[in-house]
Amino acid sequence: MKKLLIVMLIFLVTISFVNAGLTLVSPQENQLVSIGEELEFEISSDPGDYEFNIVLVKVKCSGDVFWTEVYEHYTQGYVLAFKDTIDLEGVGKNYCDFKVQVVQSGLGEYKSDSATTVVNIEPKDWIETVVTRNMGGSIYPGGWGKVDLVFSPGEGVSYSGLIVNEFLPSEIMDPTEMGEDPVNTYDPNHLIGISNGNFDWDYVDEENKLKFLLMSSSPLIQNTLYYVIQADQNLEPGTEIIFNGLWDVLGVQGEVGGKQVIVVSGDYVLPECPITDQQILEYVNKWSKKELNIDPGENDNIMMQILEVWKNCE
Amino acid sequence: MNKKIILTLVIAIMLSSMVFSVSTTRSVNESVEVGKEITIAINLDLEGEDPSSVIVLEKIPENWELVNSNPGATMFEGEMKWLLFGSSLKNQTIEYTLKAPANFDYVSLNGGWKTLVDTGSTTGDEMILKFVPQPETPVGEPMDYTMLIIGAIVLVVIVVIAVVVMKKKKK
Repeated sequence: MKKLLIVMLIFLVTISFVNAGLTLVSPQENQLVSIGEELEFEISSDPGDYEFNIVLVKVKCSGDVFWTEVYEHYTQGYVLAFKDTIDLEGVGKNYCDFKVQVVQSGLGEYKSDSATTVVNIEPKDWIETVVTRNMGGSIYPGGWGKVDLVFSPGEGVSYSGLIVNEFLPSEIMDPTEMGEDPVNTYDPNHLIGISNGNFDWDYVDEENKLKFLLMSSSPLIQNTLYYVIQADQNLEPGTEIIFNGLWDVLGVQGEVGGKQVIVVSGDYVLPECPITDQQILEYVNKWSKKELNIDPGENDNIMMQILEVWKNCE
Repeated sequence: MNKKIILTLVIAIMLSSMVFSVSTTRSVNESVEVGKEITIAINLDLEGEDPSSVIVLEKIPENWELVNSNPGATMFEGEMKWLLFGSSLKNQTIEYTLKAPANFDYVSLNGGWKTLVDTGSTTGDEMILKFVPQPETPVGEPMDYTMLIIGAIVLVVIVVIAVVVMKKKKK
């Protein structure tokens, strides 16, 4: 009788459908990855009786709206441990979310599970400490833009503090000036900010500069400071707005690299106040047809710039 | 005191007292049968003062068909966009219905939001799996348990005989 019970128990366990608990073994949180190198990832899961599994890897970097699928693999049977490498060429933009999903099917049922971590994707062949400025290539007269200052601590070094002095061009209104307009202060956290963690900032009037201070009890990892600018309404198309900055970590200093120039665009002239509701509807109609600008990639940006002007009119 | 310093202080005070955020969260049933419709809900949550506009975006999965959406979406080559501003910009739930293709195992949902100076992706449910319906019992006809009962009786008899035989052998 005892034997019979044991056999029945084994049978029950065998036919039961167990949902796999998925664990991401690697990459580890905040792991540094260089673009151009392959990234190894490894997952483990509880056993289950599956006919097939699909392993998906997705990446979403700071500034992205959508996840990008960078890997898909089909396996037979259950996935107890799975290890492979993926090529992140063309994906990397510093701070990225990394997600592995497994879709499983067995005994006529479908199940899915996912595990997520964060990786820092560094520029290719990057060795030394740098602060790099990223921003759009152009700005409309009276329009808004965002300036990113990406900090990458060098290979094999660690710092607990960073100072960035950003000397502001006279052609722009910086976030401190935009504070004069109550409408534009809707979101001070988004006028000056950081992609991850905490920081301090100050405006030094004598030098027309923004000073950022980033400190941490643990070694600083790659991070992005940012601020929002607004171009003067009266700027002539073609005007070059030049940015300069200096960074400083313990014993190491340098100039902020990357983009230094924004050109005032003549492609589109933002409307001035007053903007009637009828006009707004016409702009929305043009937006829905991607007819706001000759560059359809600017469609959403121009529509939101117009709405920013419109809201400020009130 | 310099005007800019005052403004800086004002913003610094606002920074410490005011938290602004936009977030979108997706809710959807875990699975759907092939060829059937499924409704996806996107909950838009605005905290703090509103930006001038928000665009909510969702990709329409390949081979899936958009049936309807509320509020109405604007279509852009495989993407749905909801441009929200003025009175339409408020905490709300956006719903859209998709029709599953005739053949699929799973589909990943992908979407997010944009403001003039920021972006984010939609969190929450992100996958729809194929639902495989179990064979249905014909409606109105009571299930025939005769064979099941006979089988159970035979099994019990065999077990009893086996136990009796084993006991006799031991004696």
